Amino acid sequence: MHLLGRITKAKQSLQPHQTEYAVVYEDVDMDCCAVMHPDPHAMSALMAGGVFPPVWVYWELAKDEAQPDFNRHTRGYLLHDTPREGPKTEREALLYLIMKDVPQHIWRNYETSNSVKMKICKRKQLPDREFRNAWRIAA
Amino acid sequence: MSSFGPNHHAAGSWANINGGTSAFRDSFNTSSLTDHGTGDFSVNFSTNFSNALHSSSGLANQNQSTNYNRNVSGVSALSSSYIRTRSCYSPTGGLGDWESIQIITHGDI
Repeated sequence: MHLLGRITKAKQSLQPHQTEYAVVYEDVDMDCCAVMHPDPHAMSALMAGGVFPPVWVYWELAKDEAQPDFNRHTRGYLLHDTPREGPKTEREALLYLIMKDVPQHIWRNYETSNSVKMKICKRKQLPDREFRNAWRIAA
Repeated sequence: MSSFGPNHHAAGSWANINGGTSAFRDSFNTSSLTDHGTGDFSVNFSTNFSNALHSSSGLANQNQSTNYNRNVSGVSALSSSYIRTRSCYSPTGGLGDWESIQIITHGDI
């Protein structure tokens, strides 16, 4: 089944899962840190399993798109036909979305890099938005 | 993509977002929301579009009132897997985290 069809079916049959976590990340060329908030429907689909393809599929499509002669995707079948990911815990689902939607150079080796580039935190730990454009990750 | 879904003309993705809390109220075909700063955010798609030439539109509202001068404008970056846009106050162009932001994206999937 087409990935979009699986997502449609999952949305109809699964309760959305609003995680309490968010992912804060930053890099030297960013004015302030960014915060990634998982989609509740994507979280529930990942936790149920059988909907999303392995995350490397998205990396492959990103590689294709980065080619200078890219016009349109020709390997969309990877999204639809690659064996699907099984059920995940909330933590595993969150890690999947990090690897899908956060730039790879941020999360690769983030635990061993010299500077702190990424933190997983609870949404309630985020400050109010009054000085949003001054947010940085404290070491 | 080489194979298209059955609803080729339906929206490929949509999201209703609370800009103040950076939370989805409801959505379809989105995997996450990235908050880059005040009024600056990305919607990441679960199913990629065929390329970055998809078409998006958006609405914004604040306090359910007669503030008709909030909008979603400008695409600062896009690819087949996300769209990054901004929510503004029309008279000044200043960015704001409006309480209701709706983004709809059509395109080949």
